[in-house]
Amino acid sequence: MLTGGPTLKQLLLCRAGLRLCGLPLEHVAETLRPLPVEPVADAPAYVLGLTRLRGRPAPVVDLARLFGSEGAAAPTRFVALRLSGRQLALAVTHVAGVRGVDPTTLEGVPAIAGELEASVTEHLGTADAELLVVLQATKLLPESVWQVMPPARSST
Amino acid sequence: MSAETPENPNQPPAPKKKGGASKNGSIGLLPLTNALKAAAKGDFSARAEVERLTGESAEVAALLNQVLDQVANRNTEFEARKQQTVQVVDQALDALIALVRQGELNRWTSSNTTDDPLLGPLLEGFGKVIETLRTFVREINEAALRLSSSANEVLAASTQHESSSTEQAAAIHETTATMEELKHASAQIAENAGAVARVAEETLESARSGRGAIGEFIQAMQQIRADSAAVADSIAKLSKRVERIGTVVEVIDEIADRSDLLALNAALEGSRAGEAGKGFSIVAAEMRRLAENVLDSTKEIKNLITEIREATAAAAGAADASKSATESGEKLGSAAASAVESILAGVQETSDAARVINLATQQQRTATEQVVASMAEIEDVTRQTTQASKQATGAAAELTQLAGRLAELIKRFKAD
Repeated sequence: MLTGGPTLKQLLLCRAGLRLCGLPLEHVAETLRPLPVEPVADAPAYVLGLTRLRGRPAPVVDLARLFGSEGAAAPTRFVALRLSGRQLALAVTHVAGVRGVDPTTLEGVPAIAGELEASVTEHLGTADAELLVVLQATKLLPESVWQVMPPARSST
Repeated sequence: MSAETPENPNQPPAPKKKGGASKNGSIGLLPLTNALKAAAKGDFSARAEVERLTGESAEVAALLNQVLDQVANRNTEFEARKQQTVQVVDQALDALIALVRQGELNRWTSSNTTDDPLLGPLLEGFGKVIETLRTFVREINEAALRLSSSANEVLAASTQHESSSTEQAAAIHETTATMEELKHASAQIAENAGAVARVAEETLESARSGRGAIGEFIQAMQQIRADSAAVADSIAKLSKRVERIGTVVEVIDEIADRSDLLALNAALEGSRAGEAGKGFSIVAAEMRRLAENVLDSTKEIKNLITEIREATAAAAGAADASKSATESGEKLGSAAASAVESILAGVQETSDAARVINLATQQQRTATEQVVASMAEIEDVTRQTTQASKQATGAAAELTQLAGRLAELIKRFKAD
């Protein structure tokens, strides 16, 4: 990790259902226990609603629903992300910790992935012999959805 | 005898010589002589020819004729009387012959009489004898008829008696057989009654034992209920303590969770600090590992607490159920005790009744045996009676035959 080898890409590993995901550390603000969420009309199914992070409203994205794991266990943690002045809370099943990943081991997204999944996935890698999905934090919530988030819009 | 019959049949009367002359031609007393000779010969119809005589001869002749007339008249009367006597004697003989030959007593009537002073008493005596015989025959006939009727009645009665005796003997025989069966049945009943009495006594003992057992059962139920209450109390205390432990574990879990978050966020900060935060990240990672260990432990404790809760809830439920069961058991025991008391009373009555029945059936068996013995004697007497009835019937039949025979015999005598 912090050896004389290649610079490792620091990722916060968390699980969305059974899927192991990696969030670039530069977008991670903190981890929290789940907070109260207010539903939002006309939002996609994977957007649970709005919550307040440090007093500011932020949309909550259920990462398991985003990947289509409807029957996943209930989220136990929120991961607060900073995205160019915006805040986003990711509801995840579990936070595994911080892990440095060799960027050279990361690969692109194959064509077989779905459009949404492909849009939020930056790379695919391996962690402890398990598929690791490195997410594009900025793409987790499309702009069109950001637009229907009044508190988010006001916070920008 | 005919009137014309001469007194001496061997001496025929001399022929009448009217106006005959003597050898010397003189008439003399010839008319008288002739008349006397005829009379001597029994011919009293000859008369002396008075006209041929004269004088004293004529007078003697006239007197002789008068005497002859008297004799003739007397002879005629004698003949008539003789004839009448013969007729009466013939009638008596006929009546006697009819009586002897045909038994007829009606031939002789009271009109058969005679003026003969000598024969009259004889006929009268004969008539009395006949009349006596008539009366005797009538009475015998009547007696024979009565005897025949009585003999028939006796025969009918004897036959009826014989039939009744036979039926009675059969009935007594059947009754004896029935009584014999009844004797065996009575013996069986007595034996069964004895068995019932013994069983009732045993049942009584069992019921008494059951009453004691039920009392012990009720005491055991009460003890179990008290123990169940103590167990429930202990379970309640245990449950409270478990809840307390759960609360403590929740606090620990909360602290560990917060520690996990703090450590994670510290690790994030350390990572963002780069090389300067390396040590911080290591400590944070260690802290997080400890927190996760605590969380795993609290999770395990929570699982244990959940199991304990379930177990205590089950135990509490079981204690409640046990309490309810023991209460039900006590009620059932009380009900059973009441039932056993009733059973005891009933069994006691049954035992007493069975004992009385046993005694009564033994007496009945003895009485039945006596009845059987008496029936055997009655059957023997009845058999003798039937035999006597048969003999009486035979005698009555013979008597009837004899009465018939007597009636037949007496019918031969016609009294009317």
